Amino acid sequence: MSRGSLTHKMPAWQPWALLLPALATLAALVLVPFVQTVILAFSHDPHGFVPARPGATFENFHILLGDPGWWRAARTTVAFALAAVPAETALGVVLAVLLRQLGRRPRGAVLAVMLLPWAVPGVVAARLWGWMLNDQYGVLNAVLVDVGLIRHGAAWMANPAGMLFVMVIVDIWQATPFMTLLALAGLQAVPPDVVNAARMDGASGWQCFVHVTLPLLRPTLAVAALFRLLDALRMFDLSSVLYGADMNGMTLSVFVQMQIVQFGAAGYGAASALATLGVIGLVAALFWRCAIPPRRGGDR
Amino acid sequence: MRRGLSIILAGCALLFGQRASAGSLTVFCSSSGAEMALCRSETQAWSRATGNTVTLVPLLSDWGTILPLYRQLLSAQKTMVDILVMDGTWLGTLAPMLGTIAPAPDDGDLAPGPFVSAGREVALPWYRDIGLLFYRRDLLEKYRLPVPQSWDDLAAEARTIQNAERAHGDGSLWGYVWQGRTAESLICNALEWFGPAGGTIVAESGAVDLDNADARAALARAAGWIGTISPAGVLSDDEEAARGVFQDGHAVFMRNWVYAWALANDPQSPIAGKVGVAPLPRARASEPPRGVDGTVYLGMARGTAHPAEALSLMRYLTSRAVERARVVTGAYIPARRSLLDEPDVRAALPVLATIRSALLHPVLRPMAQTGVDYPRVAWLAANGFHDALRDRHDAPDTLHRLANVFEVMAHRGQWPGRPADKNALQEKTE
Repeated sequence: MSRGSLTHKMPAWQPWALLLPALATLAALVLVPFVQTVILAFSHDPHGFVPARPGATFENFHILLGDPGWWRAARTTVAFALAAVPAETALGVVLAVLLRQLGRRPRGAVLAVMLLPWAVPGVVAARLWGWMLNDQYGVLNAVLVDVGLIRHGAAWMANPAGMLFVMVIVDIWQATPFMTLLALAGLQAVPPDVVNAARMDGASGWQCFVHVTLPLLRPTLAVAALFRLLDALRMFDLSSVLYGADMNGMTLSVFVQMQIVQFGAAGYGAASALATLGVIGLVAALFWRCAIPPRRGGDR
Repeated sequence: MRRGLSIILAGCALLFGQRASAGSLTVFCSSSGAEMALCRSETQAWSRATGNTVTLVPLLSDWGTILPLYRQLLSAQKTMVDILVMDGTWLGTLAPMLGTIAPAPDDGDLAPGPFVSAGREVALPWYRDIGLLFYRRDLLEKYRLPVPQSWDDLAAEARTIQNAERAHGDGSLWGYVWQGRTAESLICNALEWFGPAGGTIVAESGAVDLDNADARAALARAAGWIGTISPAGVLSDDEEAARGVFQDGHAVFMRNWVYAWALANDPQSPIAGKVGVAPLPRARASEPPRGVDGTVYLGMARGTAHPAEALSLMRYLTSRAVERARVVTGAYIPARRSLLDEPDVRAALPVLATIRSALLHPVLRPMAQTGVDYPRVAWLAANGFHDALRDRHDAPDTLHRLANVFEVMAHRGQWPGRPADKNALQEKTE
């Protein structure tokens, strides 16, 4: 405590005064809406022809527990995230390894082209894919019919599994460049002499990659995948644009938005938002436990 | 800095000063260009006659986003809007925030009547729309088939023509396209299949009426169309997608609203001049023709500073003279019964002669019975119907489950028409 001369001279209130603007902004933007959400979630919000009653209640959560729509949205969201994120991570690593083989200049050019899907806004991507996959006039069906693989245009998004699959594919198309970029940065940070040492000890290329490069890449990948996981768990644009009010393709974010914006049910919407936060927290925590191995005793 | 502040202050003065002047109304009346022009000329005529001023605010073209906007605008302390154009499906939700409209002697001429919620008139019908059957006249003539009167006739004719045309090389032709996307339009289609015996989800008395034999049979019948006379993709079609298929010449029959008539006969349309329109078929051919009502209403904000002027403008916009001018210049179906038989109205809208019978029996969705809960009821019902159509055998289960959910909602939301709920209703209107 007595080491820093700066802390010694500064009065106790001064750091807080310096922090105050940031804390006030955070409170206004995060804390106040959050507290309001909690209050709303515990309020009576019966709907129909009767006004809300005063007092706190667990009613909204009670209804939520028995709401098949919410459970379906939770299943869709978790399934979507668990399908999309590992695929994006694996693809990202493969593409990054391939890109590393390229020279500096071609790598820059290829990377720039590859990043284009990541630069497309989610709503635009969803619309584009919606058109391309349309069963009557979509380009994908036109090509498949022309080639002779199918006779009539297939309705790709006509059943729940297809709906989820399309969302996963579009997300992989969009987010793989992001994972590639981060994996490439991670690969470049792997010290070449470690790999060279392994090679000198007689390890094959594959063994080097699996036992040397990947473990060194793991922390970078874990953080990147966590970012993607959080993104995927709060995914709104694809589901909303492609499927609108259809419960079969509905994610939790769309469910919450429907309750508040379309149905004007502030209390129930707030309760489902809190529950959604719980789902995201739970999945992210589980992921973190699995992705980062517990530190060994003598680790420095 | 000081200059910037003065500009902001001037802006505020402009914003709020205008609101304070007597008889200045803000009106939301349309989104599209032609409708906006019509609305402008109508409101200008009213302002010249009364000396009040009117500010028109254009609406978003996506009607799905307007209800949340209205809800937000109307629940504000000082409303920024006086008169609003409203889709019929929003009325139950918005009714508590709308001003009371004093009845007028000629209200009996309005069809459907003014919207009544908790004993108050809150909206006046402005112009009408109704679900109709569009058909390829050339194909029906080629195969010497009459316009179908029952759903079974329609399926049989659709299959006949579809199979014969496909055998002659038109592989992309389908029999019937409609709106199967999980949205409000699926509710409309379903209520039209149900017929009078199948009910309208919630009866006028407030009782849930969905789990019945006619509704089950109707859903099973429609599920049987998918993949046989309707493409599987019909389950993700809305009005425009169905119109796209029909207008490109890929369907014999289509269910749609009146607007599709003008577009199908546009010189650019591949099927111009080959289209016919008729009331929708029924479960039994003997039943009178009917279609789901798509009336657009006018209402005023409960907190408006100028209720008398707002009411005067609403009465003017729904008057016989303006309604007649609307049908002649814009082909809007008037919401006044007495206009439907007038020669100049008939001349401006020749379709009226064929759809007149359906206009007499509009099927009203249960907005009045479910009130604020209607959007949720419609969402749950649309999802249930959609699942039942896709899974084919699920109709009885789905309807039973939906009916149970609506019973719970009726109890919790205290929908009117239930004897035990009278007190709560009074509480709300006070």
